[in-house]
Amino acid sequence: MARKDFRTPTSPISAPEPLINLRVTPQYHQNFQAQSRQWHPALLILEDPAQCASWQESDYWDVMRMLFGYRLSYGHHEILPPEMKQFCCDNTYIYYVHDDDRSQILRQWKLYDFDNFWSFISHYPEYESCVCQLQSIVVENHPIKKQLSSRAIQRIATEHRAIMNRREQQRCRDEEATVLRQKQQETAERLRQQTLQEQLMYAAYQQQEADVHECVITWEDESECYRMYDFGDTSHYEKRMKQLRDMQQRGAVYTKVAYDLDKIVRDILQSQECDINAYTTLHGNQLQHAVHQECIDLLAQTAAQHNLSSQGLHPEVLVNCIDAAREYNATGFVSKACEVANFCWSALECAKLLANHTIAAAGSITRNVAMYSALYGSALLEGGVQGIVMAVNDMVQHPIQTALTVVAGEYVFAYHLSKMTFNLLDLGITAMVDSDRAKERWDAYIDPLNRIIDAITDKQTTFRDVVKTGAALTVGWKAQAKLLQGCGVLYRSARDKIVEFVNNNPLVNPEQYMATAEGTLLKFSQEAPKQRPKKEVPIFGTELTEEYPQYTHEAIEKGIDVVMKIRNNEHHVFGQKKHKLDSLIQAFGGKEQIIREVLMDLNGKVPFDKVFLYVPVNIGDYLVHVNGRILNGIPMISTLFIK
Amino acid sequence: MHWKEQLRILEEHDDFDVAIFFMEKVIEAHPHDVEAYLFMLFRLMDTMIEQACHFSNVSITPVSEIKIAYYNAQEERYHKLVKQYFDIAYEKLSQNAEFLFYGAKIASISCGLSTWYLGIDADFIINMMEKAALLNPDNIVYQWTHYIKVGDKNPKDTKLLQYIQNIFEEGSTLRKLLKEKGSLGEYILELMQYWTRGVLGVSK
Repeated sequence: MARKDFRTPTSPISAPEPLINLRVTPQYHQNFQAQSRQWHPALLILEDPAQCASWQESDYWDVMRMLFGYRLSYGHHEILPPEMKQFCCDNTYIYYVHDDDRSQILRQWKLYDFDNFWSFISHYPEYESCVCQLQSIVVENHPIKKQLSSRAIQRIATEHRAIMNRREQQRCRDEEATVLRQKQQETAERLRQQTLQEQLMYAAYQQQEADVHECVITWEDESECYRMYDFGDTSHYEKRMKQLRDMQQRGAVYTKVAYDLDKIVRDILQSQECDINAYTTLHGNQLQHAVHQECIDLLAQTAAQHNLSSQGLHPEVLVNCIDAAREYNATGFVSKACEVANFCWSALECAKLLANHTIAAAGSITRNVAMYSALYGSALLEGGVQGIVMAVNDMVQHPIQTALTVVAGEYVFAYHLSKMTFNLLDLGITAMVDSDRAKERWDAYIDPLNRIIDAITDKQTTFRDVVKTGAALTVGWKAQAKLLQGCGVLYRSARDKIVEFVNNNPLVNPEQYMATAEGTLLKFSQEAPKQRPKKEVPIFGTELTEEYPQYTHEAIEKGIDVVMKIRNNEHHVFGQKKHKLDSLIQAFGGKEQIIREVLMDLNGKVPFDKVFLYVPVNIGDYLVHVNGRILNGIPMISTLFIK
Repeated sequence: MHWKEQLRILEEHDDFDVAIFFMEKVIEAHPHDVEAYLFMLFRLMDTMIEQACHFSNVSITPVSEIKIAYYNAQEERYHKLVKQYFDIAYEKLSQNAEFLFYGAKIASISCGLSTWYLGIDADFIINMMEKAALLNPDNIVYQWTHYIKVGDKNPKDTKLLQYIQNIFEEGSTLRKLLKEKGSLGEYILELMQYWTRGVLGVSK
């Protein structure tokens, strides 16, 4: 009856059920309903009311306030005054608590005798820690233990065991859940990376699909040369072309294939700290699978070719290049992969050929072989710039077939080496014949060479760290980094040759220098600027004919700061591809210098009182167009681009 | 057809002047639409500052020079419009994170000349972006302001690299949000990708 009465349907907080059935009068119930909405009745037990005879009026009202829900929040177990009898049955304590005072409730030791009390506190967040503390009290014979009945002690032990069991079970479940969650995360991440990489691979392949198909002509020519001069096995070309034909007939079919690796392949990969797993499976089209298998075959041949080092070609160079080819291939850059693989094949064949020549030299060697070997052989295998440039130069002057005379091996090797290094590292072979771009290529060849080599060393950490994070955007860089690593030895040798030349010939003039192999490039570099239109004045562009006041050097520096020190501005000026500033940045070695050059060139040529738009400025050999305004004496650039 | 789609078509055809005219009408019809203001401000600023580059390097025709000259001649008119619309929008939307962030990026198009074009300086622009991130810290686009600082301090920060991945991941929330902003979104995405290259220490 009382249990039902305690519920107040209109109350915003439904009161918990009392622990022990109460018998209350209608009057009490009415008052309770009116006053106790924010309070939770906990327990009402009346015991020995006779003792309340000595209570003062204030005591009585204390209890009343407690009952009626004033700020008496924690457990009271005072004995009710006689007046309260009308509300309660005999032999009853009153506990009337606020929900915030759980700690007070939990310290009511006598209540641990009651099952209802246990069930009441079992919902408290502190329940488990409280039981554990009680168990300690019992075990350690704490003075509080005296206040606990044997029944309570027995119950504490039971509950403590149950809690311990629950905790153990929970710990097991948590461990299982953690392992499961980690596996799920790993799977999700792998799938996500896989999907992302596959998407990138599809995109990359589609982007250079036309290049791949164009490669067929080159492959046919090259395999013809191989056959004509008995240079080596051409089956890799044939396999690629077969797969390409298949793709043309029935389209690209993407499959995931597992590859078996021989022990020697695994060993050589391990020795060069390459990822073996990257070779064991590949998701790709028919051509990609053919190239992947080529990479494995190349590794096997590299491992089997014990005399590489004695021929000046270190295995790590080849393994890094093969790994770069595999990486390019896996990420869809198949034409690049083929180019690098071609280099590796020719390097291997060349090493074999030179080994044979060495043997032949013991007998009778022709004059031509000796001459060409002296000119190209060792230089090429060491990566000497002279050999590369001369070979390339000869090939430019003569068709490749005619140039491949006595030492076809070195030529093929030089051809692929130059193609790979010049093209892939943006030192294009086109520079040799395209006079318009010769200056640019000269700068790209000589000036940044040190920076390229330094970058090979410096960037490796960055590349590796970024790759470790699994950022899919780095896949292209990963291959490039490997290739650079492989070419590092070759380039370092090239740089040394240049430095050596300059040191040995400090007084060399351009004519003398042009007589050297490197001089062919210089020749183009000197001619090229003459062919570039020095200044282009647009029909509607701002004519720089008038003279205006000049701004100060300090103003120029402030103008530079406006662009370079405010990130938004620097992003705007240099972050847009359509501005075409990359070559300028490379040529000037920095963005700040470009702004400085522009502002210096503009000085005195633009008005102080209005915006200037589309103003042509010559910096170096570049024609740059500038928008901006002079504001408070400071020249401000709003945009900058090359046409 | 939604006005954004109509605007896209006009922009695709290099009809920037018509696009500006059209956006004036859109704002008249939707005077409280934050995107209408943003698209208008971007169109104006981009046309004033970048049209010559656009007609020189992106949309090259035999009459590109004439178009450049035409738009250069409109500079004063566009300047008045951009100031007018920026002031109106700022008055209405100064507590709107979307306006604050994208508005700041638009203001940055003028580089150091935001004082001249819009009457706001670089600090004001930075405050706008930071306020946007405070008002809506969960928006991944606005978080860029935070990650720029992270990138300066620790370019190997894991969260930063995850953020960068969103920039390059087709279909990421960040990309979707930027795609909704049309050519303004494309512009910001390109700058984000440029910033990324700087953070990762890779050149082009």
